[in-house]
Amino acid sequence: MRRATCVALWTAATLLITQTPALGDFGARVELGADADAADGTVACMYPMTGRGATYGRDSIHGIQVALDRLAEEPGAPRLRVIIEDSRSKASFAVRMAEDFVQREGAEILCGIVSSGVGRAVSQFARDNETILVGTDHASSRLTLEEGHRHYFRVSSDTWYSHAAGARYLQEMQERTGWRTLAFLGPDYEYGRVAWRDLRTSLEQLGVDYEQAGTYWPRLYEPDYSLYIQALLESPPDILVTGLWGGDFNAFVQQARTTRLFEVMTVANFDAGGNYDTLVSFGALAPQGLILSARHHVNWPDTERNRHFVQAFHDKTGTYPSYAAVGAYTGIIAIARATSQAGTIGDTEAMIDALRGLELPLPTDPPGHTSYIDPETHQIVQAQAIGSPREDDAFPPARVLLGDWRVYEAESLKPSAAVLQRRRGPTADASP
Amino acid sequence: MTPRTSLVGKYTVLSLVLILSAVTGLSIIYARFSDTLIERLSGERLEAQLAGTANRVSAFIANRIYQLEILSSHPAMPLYVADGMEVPEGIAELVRVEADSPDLYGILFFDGGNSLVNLVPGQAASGAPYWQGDPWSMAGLPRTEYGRTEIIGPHVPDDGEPGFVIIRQRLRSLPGMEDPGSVGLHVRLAAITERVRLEDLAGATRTYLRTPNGNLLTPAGHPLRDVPKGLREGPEILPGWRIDYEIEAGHILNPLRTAQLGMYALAAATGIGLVAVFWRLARSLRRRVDQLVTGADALAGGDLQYRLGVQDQRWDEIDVLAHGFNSMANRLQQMMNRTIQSEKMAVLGEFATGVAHEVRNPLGTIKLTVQALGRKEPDQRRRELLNDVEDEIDRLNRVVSDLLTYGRASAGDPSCFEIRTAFRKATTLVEPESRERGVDINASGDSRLCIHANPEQVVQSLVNLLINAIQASQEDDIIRLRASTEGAFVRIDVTDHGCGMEPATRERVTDPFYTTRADGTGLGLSITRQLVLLNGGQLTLTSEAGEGTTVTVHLPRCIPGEPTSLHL
Repeated sequence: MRRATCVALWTAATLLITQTPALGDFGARVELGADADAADGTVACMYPMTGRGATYGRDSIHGIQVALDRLAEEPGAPRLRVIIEDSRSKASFAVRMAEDFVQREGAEILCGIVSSGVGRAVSQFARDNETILVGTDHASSRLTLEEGHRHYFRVSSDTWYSHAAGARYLQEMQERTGWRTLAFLGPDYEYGRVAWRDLRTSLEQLGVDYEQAGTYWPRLYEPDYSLYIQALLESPPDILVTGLWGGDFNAFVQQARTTRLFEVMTVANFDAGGNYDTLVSFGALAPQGLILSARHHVNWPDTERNRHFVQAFHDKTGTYPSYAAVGAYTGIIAIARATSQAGTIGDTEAMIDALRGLELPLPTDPPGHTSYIDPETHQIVQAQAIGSPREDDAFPPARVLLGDWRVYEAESLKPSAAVLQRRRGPTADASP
Repeated sequence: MTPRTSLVGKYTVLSLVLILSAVTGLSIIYARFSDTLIERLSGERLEAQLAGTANRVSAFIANRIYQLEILSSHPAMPLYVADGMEVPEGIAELVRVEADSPDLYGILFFDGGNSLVNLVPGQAASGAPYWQGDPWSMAGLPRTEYGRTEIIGPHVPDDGEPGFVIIRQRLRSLPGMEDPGSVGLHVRLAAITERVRLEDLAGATRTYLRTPNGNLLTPAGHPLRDVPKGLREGPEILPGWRIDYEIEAGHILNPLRTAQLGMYALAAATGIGLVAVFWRLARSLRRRVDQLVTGADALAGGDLQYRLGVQDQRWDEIDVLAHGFNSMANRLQQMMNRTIQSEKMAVLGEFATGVAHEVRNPLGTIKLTVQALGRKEPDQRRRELLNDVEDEIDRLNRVVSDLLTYGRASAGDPSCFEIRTAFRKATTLVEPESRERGVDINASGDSRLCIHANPEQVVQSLVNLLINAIQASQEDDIIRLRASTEGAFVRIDVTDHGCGMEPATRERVTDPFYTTRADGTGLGLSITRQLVLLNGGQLTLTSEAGEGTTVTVHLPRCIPGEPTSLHL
């Protein structure tokens, strides 16, 4: 009875909202691309459209639109129908949503998901239901390492890559400044915990000698960080690495900049801190000493492909893209390319074969590198760039952008065979 | 002089009393202020806040227990524990929704032997037991019974991983099932400790969560290594779970205490400095007052020459007093000198008048007799002797006239007249003598200057001075007579380039009857000075032996037709 009610409500919502929405005004469900009758396949994506993660959902949908526009210009490209619904950042909701996408909507591919906790739950569903899930935003490296499986692929950098680059940056910084103590502040859920582990592992591999000065675990979407800021100020580390992202990181910075925190420690956020919306939130002046990166930058790499993507996004939305947009864009392009290679989107095994090792020239690629999906881990392999905020109004309303880049080649960041072995266990196969 | 009678000592004591009063007053105000501050920080408001904090934590746990009640009493829950039993999707969805909270790692199911047999990840699910391969155990964790609920833990943060608490209840038994096991909520420890934080803007009160295993957890969820001094017991939340707190007003009061100590130090330094300054001042003052007393004693003893030493750079009250003392001594000395001089003059005048009367009449008789004898004397030689006697009688008459002039000197009627008139008359009168000596007299200066004095006495004075100058000059010398303005006076300089005077002579040259010439009476310059003084002027004299002499006369200046006092 309960299930029947839920399905009825679901169907009603689907019937009510089926048209492409006005930009920036998404409802609970959005349909993009080809009509159901004309489509070569259906891709069902889950993004938060309400709450603190809503900006990620909004930019992801715009990114999908840019990808579909590009595919529409290519003769012979598969015509995809993309359904997007609000996951509300809840695993229970998203799992049920995924189940209905597959069983009721006939979706061949699942995609999206911002929260790693939600991504993990849906990944387990995808594994159990043998449905391909293309992750576009969530970043816990466990999903491709410990819990990786045949049906799971990720097309945005994960915590391993970003924190492997971060560890290299910290190593170089230690040679310059001699910093000794490091603390970590991360959201207490899958993503934060894995980010901390990945950073520690990378620092250990590099032989960086440091003292752990505390770990702080506020909950995801914590509205008030004063407790943790106070604790950090009472025992300040040399370096604070934070795994906060999106609105959480913005809220933390806004609160911390009213204190001496940025004066007494260097704050680094290697995975999401350099996101465009965060740079906008800094206003005219970023707090001092920040070290930031993100999975995409509007001003790096300075390639035609990146400039074209950023401009296309801006033309469509009137604003510049966050990294979530590039992830969603990449997800749709990857599915389209794999569909073309597999011949049909409905052949899951052929699609898996096509996705494994798939090369994707992307806006995030610096000259000389083409992103590809690692056939072993199903994780996209991309270079990482870490920088510091500086005044730059080339992409308004942001008044600061990252600069002073340190770039780390993609291949040098891949987890070693030993790490794979350790993370997956001695009995695990080399590939999921 | 003792400190009790010393004015400086009294000022010192008064200043110290004022400083001590001010410091004491400020200390009292500070003590009352800090007491009020501490009272506000730790008074009844704190108790209310602690109670509120305890309610927040209790409510959170109560909500979890309520959530657990729903699960533990649900008849389908044992399916999660039972071997080989499939959980209906509706039930699984219910449990997933219950688990989907940011404060829950997940929902754990235990069999009758307390072994973890199933779990449903929550929104915060991470680490063991959700991550396979990570060791996880509840062994060694404290257990608190609270009704039919069991609180297991806390497992404190370890190796950088966050801590947790398990809130567990036994599952409702199913028919044929002896022990269906239990269900537990795997709760973030920070979700509890965060609620222990006190909303204390001053930051003076720190709260901690005391757990059954004795740990003291900070609001950030970290165990405290050292128990703070002055830790106080707060309200109990559950058996063995308590909110302890400390009032750490140091960071608020320390600056005040530092300021208080600084104030004491400043007051002490000021007191010491004050005593030192007053001590020095007293010494200096006493030394200088002693000088005043010595001067006064000397003056009283008749030493009118005694003067106090005054430094020109300083001009404090004692200096003013010393200047006043010296001025008083000067005036006293002048007054005494004038009195003595007046008395001398009076005596001398009386004497001279007596002598003149007694001498002049016989001299007249003698002169008439000598003249008669001379006219009848045929002997040329005797007649010349009689002429010499007559000349000596004339000289004696002049001396007697001078004596009378000196003894009866009085100021004539003053008038305002041009100095050039006096210059012209005087030079005319001395012209025969100057021509005889071959000496020129050169008058210069502003001839229109007018003086207020008796014209005859001025002319007489000038004649006396010019005659002295002529007699001191050599042939072809020039005597300069010059008039100029000096303040309210006309200055008249009579300068010769004659033999000049030795200092000893210069000191006495105005004394009556003192003369360096054989035929002088020693009264000319004395009479001149007396006449100048009688006309409100002054006579001074500078002279260098072999260089010449300048006699300077100051007489009151005037403008014809205007009251004289306006120009004085």
